[in-house]
Amino acid sequence: MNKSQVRRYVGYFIIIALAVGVISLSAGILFRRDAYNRTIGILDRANTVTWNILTSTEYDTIDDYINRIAVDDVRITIIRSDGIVVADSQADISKLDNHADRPELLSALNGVPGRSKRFSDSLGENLVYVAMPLVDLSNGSYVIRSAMSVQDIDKALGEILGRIAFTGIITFLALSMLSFLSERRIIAPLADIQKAAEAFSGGNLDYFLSIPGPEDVRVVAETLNDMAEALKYRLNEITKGKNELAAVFSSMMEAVVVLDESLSIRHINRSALKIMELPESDVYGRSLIETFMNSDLQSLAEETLASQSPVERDITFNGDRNLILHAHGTRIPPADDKTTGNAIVLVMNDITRTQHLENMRRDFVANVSHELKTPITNVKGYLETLADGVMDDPETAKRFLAISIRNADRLNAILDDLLSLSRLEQQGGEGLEFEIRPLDDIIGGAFQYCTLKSSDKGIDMRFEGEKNLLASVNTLLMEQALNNLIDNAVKYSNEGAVVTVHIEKNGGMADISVIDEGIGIPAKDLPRIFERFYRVDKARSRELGGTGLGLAIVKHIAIVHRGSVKVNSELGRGSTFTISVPLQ
Amino acid sequence: MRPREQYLESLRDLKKEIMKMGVLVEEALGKAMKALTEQDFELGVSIIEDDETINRMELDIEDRCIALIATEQPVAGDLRHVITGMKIVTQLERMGDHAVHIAKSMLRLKGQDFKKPLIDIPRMAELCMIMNKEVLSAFMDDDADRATELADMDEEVDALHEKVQREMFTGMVEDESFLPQALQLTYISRYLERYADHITNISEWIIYGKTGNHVDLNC
Repeated sequence: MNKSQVRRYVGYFIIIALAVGVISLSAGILFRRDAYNRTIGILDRANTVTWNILTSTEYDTIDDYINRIAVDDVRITIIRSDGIVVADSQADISKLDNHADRPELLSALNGVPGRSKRFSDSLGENLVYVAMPLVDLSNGSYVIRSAMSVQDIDKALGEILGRIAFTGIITFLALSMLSFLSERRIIAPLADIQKAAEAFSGGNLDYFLSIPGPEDVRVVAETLNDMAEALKYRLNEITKGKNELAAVFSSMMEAVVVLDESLSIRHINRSALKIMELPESDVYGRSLIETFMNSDLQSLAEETLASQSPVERDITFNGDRNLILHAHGTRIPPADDKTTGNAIVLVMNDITRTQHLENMRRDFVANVSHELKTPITNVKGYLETLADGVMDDPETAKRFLAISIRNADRLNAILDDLLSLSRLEQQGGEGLEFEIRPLDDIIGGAFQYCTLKSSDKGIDMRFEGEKNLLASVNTLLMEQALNNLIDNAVKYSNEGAVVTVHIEKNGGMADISVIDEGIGIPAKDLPRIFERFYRVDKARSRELGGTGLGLAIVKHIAIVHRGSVKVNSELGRGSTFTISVPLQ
Repeated sequence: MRPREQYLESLRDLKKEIMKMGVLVEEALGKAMKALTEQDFELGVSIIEDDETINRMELDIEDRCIALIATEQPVAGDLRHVITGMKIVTQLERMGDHAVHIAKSMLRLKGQDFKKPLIDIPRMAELCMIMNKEVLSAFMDDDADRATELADMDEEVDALHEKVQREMFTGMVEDESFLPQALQLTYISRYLERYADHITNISEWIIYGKTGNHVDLNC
């Protein structure tokens, strides 16, 4: 039994005790008053009877007469108006003192019936007195007073009160028992309901509340169970929706960042972390500027916060990767009409690759026009000069024609390269004849082409590595690829340097490497040198007679041989180009 | 909001503003290097123009620091943090100036082909930019240890500067026509070396803000 229960029981008991007590008490009082009134009525009648007898009968001594007519339990006293007792049915009048000070007498003398209840000295017990107002008898005015002992009344009253008290106690006990029982029936289920409510609020919606109690309480319990069921259903719906959103959020290719009003990160998805190479744990709650360290993105977020409409822009991240993101910022206004509590969603697309391809296409168009235009302009210029009269000077004319032919050759070379490149690209190796040949044979063939140039620069050509590695190749194309590489190596080497062609088995592939000790290629250009017309140093390349297509052709030749080409280079130290082709 | 929270909020805002300025400075250096290697003159000119924003930010942040000291009357560590903020923006402003100097040198080199491809200078700039990001993170997190570690990278930058200088002197002696270019490149190397020094200065201030001790990382 806990404290609140004790308090409740004490309350019940007090209320029951008070109710029973008040009822018993008022019953007692009523009984008492009734008994008293009845006694007074009897005494009143006794007075009247005495008076009637006294006025209608003759008697000698009033005292004897009174003694004769009085009944046992009623004491009749006749008192003269001056207080002298002239007759008494029970006491000896000679011994009685003056009664003038008795309250009932005083009231009777004033013409009002007097009543009093007090201890009688003469009889030694409690009496009720009733005095009749002054009556005239033969020899003067007298007050007739009758009295009765209340001992019997009190006794009877005591008995009744005792019974009332007994009933009261029985009633009290019965009521207490009843309240205790009903309390247990109603309060005890409440404790179960409380436990269930706690379980529900704690998230345990599977808790089932079963109460065998009274109808009213059972309905409450059932309602609670229904509520839990409904909550569970709705919670499941919400969780499902949330999980779906989370799955969408994390599996999106786009980088998504949710920011609060102070531009701190609230959510960030996997793509964003991956693109920015950030660790997940370190990011939440941090500000945008310290996480992304990009002022353009910061100002985009600030603009988004201030603007009604979405803001979008390309954001460049400088650094080793040259990342370009297309960022799209949308403001999410707060749910209610508050002015604070805005959030921002930044969705970012990595457009580095598309931008790169776009640049390549643009560069290609620009390059091809430029590459073709230069020789044509030259040819046109010289021919025009010839037409304008230089023809007459055979020496100059001859020189100009030679220049024109050289430029036409160059144009031809570029077009040849472009054609063979597009053929390689379109055919993808189909329709080409492949034969199985030792690769060192082909390298030997390629060496012959380059001997002239290399010996001009005093370059030492070396071959090392395994012989008789067989591969299925188109001899012409493979020779062309090696030619291009060796030619480049010779071109970009200083006089007297060494160019080595190395061949080795690497798994199922043969790696043919052309190694030079030339000027090398800057790291930032390495990924692009196999692009058409891409030149590390434009002026120098053209001066050396390149078409800008050589390496692109090498790459495509490797591809049609189901192989690949790669490059390693260090500025100032030299480059190594490696063609890998599958071995037979 | 209680006064203490309000103060912390202002301090956070201040730090964020300094962070923004630091990022702008780092981006300015990145652009300067990009302009130099790609010979992008428009970019070079834009760096000189954008430096105005950095200079304005310095004054703005200093004003905010002063207002913070005047209104909040911080003491002990709180005061050190505000002072540190003021000292750091001064350093950042100087770093921004170095980025501008590099851009100007680049403009003076206009149209000249480099005698030799740039290797060490971009490497120095790369180190500077990494240091810059690191020092800003350390500042945000109040991380004295990370700030101290930056001294190692500064030494690397110093070593590269030495190397570039030696190469340039040799080049000048060999070929007189190389002199103007070598001079500008030496300057650029020197600016980068100074840039890294300013970063270690910021590290020193971060350590001071955290511990109250002055250390010397530039020895």
